[in-house]
Amino acid sequence: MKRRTTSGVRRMTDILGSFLKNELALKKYLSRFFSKTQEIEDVAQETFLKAFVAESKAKIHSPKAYLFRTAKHTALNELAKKANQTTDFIEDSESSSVLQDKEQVGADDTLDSKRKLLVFTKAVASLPPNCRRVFLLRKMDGLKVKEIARHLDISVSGVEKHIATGLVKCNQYFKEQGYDPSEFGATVPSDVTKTRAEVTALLQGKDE
Amino acid sequence: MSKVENIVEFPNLKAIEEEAALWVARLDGRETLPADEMKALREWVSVSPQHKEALERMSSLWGGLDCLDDLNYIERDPVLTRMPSRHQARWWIAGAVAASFMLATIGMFSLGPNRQDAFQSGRYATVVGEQETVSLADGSIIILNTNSEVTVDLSDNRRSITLLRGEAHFDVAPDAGRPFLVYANDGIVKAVGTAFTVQLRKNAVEVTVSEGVVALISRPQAQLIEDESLETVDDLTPLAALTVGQSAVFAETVESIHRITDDALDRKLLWREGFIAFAGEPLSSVVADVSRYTDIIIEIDDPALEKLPIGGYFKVGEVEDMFDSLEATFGIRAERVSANKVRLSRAS
Repeated sequence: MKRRTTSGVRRMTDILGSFLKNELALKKYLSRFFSKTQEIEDVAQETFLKAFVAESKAKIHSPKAYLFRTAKHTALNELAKKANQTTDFIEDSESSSVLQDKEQVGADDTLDSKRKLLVFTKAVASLPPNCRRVFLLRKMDGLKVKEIARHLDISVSGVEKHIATGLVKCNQYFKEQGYDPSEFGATVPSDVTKTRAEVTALLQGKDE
Repeated sequence: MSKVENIVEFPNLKAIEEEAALWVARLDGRETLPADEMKALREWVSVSPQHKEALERMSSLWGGLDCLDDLNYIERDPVLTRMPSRHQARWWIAGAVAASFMLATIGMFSLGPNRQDAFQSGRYATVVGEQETVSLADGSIIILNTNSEVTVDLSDNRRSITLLRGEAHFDVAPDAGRPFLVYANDGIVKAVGTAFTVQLRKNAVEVTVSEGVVALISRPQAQLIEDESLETVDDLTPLAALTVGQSAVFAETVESIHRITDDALDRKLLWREGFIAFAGEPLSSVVADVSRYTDIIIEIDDPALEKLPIGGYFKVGEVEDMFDSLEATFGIRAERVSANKVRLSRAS
């Protein structure tokens, strides 16, 4: 059993709340389109991500209806894509077999980064509104802390407090869900941010 | 007192995590950490292995969150999104700019790491019962109320918004070099850094200021901008200036200006939070207001009922809830005469 604090339930976004509440029904609905469990799972999670992005831009009045509509569109798109891939595969195998291998590698990478995105998005969706707003402005819209402070008309240290609070809560979320932050953290070189680099330098300096 | 000092504290992991998170936030927020803070951080890290581990974990978490950028590339289903999202709109501009100025100028409009462009244009709309928040590239925010439409045109010397339909609230990011102009019917509302709401009325415009000052500008004056016979928009002669808490209706001239109380102002702007509020307005005007948010036609059967004062607030888009509470609290019967028509009468 996963433990979830009551405040966590109250604070998560409507979409995350609605998704968790309707996850089973949504997957049952998706089983009309797909037979494999993995496919159903993938489309369900994709649906959550799309709805979360939509929610971060505008208020969604009926999250449940929105989730089911989005699920349907995603499912239909997925089926259309699959039909295309089959054709591509036949065309590819006629010309070169190496190409398929390359695509296979790419697909694995995509899967990993999708899973990572999903875990982090759910963590952020479960944050209190103010923290969530700051996280999205910083990491999704790419604003600097100073710009966020100006945008929200709060002090820089106010923004920093939201970041710190959000980080502690994200960490808590990872623990509750049984994820290891280091598994998803900035391990890929391209992900290394200035902060990460500074911390690494600091810690290494300490060790010497 | 000595007893308290003698207690050996176990490392408080929660406190350590909180401090680590704050250090990561500070490292992210400041360009460079001053030497004394850097020294303090080093000392903090060396307190215990838990300190070091917590800092590592928090910074790894913060770095991992960079993947949220991928959300920008998650497509919203075109059927579900009637209007271009911010990002689509920006790419569209980048394309248009590239096409008209050729390759040489593209560098000037580089989307940059912050993706904050000085230029933006687009059209945003809501259907009946819907509301939408639009963040503009300059940091300003437009909240569209039900059944409303705006076009946005940000250029290097001004920010022009045209309210084509409905009502919108503008939270304007200060930029003295680029005045913020809202074209509405025949007039213009001009602001530099302020917050206000503009609603189209029949042949007039209602403006309510919730922050700062705005200037109301009439059509003949507005024409001067179009004709480019003025050096800057600062040369325009306004009809009137409105300050916080003032509400005005204007067209060719100012029809009315009045000051409203803080409570009334809050109520008037509550739609931005998805609610409409009333404090003793007659049922007829409540119905007129609510009708903006729904396709359902609401009839009042009894002239005496029209004057019944109504108080309370309702969630936008949940008109059925309103019928329920009218029935429960105000002795009104809400009868559904057809799929999209409801008749209100006095409950007998």
